[in-house]
Amino acid sequence: MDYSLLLRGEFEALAVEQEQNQIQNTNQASWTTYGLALTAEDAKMITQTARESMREEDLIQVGDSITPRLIHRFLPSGLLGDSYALRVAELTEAFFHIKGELREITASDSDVMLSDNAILYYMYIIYISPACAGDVEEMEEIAQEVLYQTAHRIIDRREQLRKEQDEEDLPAEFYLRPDADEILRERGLSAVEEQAQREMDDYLFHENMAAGSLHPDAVWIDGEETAAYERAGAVPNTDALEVLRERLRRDPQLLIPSEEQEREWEAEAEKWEEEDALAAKAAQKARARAREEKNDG
Amino acid sequence: MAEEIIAVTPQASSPQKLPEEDYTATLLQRASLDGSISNERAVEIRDDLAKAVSERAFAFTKGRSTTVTKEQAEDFWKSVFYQLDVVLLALRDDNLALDALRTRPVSELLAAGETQIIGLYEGAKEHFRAAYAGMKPYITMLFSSLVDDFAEFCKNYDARFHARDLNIAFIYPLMGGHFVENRDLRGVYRYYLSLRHESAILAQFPQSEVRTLLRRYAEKYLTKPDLLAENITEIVLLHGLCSYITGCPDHSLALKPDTPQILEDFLNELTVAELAEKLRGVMRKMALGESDEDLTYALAGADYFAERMMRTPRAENLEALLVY
Repeated sequence: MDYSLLLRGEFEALAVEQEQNQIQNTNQASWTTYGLALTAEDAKMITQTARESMREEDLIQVGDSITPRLIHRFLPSGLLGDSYALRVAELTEAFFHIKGELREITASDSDVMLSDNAILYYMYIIYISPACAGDVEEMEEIAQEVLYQTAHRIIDRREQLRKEQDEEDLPAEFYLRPDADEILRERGLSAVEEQAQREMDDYLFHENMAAGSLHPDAVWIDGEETAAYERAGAVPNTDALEVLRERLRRDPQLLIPSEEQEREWEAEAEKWEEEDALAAKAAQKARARAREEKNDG
Repeated sequence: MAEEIIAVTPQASSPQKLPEEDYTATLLQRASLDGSISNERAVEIRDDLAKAVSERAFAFTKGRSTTVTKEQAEDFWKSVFYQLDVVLLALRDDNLALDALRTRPVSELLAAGETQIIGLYEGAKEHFRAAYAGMKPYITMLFSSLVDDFAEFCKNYDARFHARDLNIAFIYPLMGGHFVENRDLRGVYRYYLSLRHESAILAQFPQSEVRTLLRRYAEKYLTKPDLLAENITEIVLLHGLCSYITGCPDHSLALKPDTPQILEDFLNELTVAELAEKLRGVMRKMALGESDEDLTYALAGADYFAERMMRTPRAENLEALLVY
């Protein structure tokens, strides 16, 4: 059966108008703080760019447009410049390109997937770094060096682990046991507990990095990272990209954010969406009031 | 509700005629063309399915991606359709299936499909484990090679995102008269269930006699029992039936030297259909298997056994089939 007709109809057809409205709803936040705004034409151009980029990367939209979230993430950079609309379009295009590249790299292992929030976060860290300073092309170059190479290392490492695991894996005959499912369920539970512990460790590590309490040299000392957190006289590292580079060099697995971090980003994004929706409502009311006043006048 | 859909009794008057492959899609297409489903309802079904696919994509990405690849999206569509296929095919009647599509909310049909898929998956595992335990004393290389696929099935089957994707080869042949064409979950379930019936039928015969028969049968074809490429139950049951027909004491599998002549004389008096009927009678008397389902399975092979026994030239044919 050919499912392509169904795909075309349903997934790509999140109303264009709705998407454009969502993009324009960010104007309140961008205008109030940064003096930037997008026209309806700009929103249309950005939506068009997003769709073309998705098509190029063989992606299908199943949720809201990524652009409003991208705008909110990048606004504080102060590097969206004079051609605000064009820059947002370029960043949207870069987002899908990076996403597509990462997908290619991790295609063999569906458990390795960077969330949209994580990609936006890493893009931002690179974008604001002194090395990039708001240059989208440069951002993609650095992404290739930092993100793609790390993703390759994760995949290689997991492949290696899988091979080792296979060697000590359960024999096929194990699955013939009537109690096989029960035993596997118990094993699964303990694996989940281990994963939870690891996530907590990662999160603590990330927190310490963010707080600057990790000495830059500490990343080079294998197996002593815990002691390094508290090293006296630690110097905060202000270049987030350099911190990220060192962090990923130390452990590529840290490219995948912790659950806690994901939840934080999601909460942040939801807050942006709520604020945009409220701003849009307020703007609508103001327009209605203005119309009424005009009519009265 | 899900149980209600599953429990609907099939009507014998209008059975399922449409092919099982892509059943729901074919049913919908046919109904749209002949007007037996309204346009509004067809659009409603399509929208509900799209919603289900979106939810699946959300679950797959854990809500962390606004996009999926085309390939992934297609897998989700296939899984959702397969869920409907399973529940509608269980009705075994195109009209009942169409009626369910017309009147039941898609979400309920999907829930029923999910319940059935879980049942099929768990049931398939249970059947193969029981079949393996029964076949263990006579395991051949071919049967043994099923174990690796079974382990993969236990480890990797993913009903939510790749419900149709199974990589199971039915290498070990089923007893004559039985075939499983579909390689989807329903097919795997049928195949494993068939093996279970066969192991239950085999359990009817004394282990030592079965071993001796297989050893001698293998010797006849200059091989070893574990290298036999044929269905073990078929070899054993054929000997058991011949033993019964020719009046061997205690229906022993060790046929006597005069058995071929008695058998030939017996067969000369019958047509294939008559022999099949007689074999069914013998099978009933032997009360094959542990349950009625096992016996029904054996009975379904009677036509095949009869045709094989009646092949000519008869003496050479019986010589090839049996070990005396």
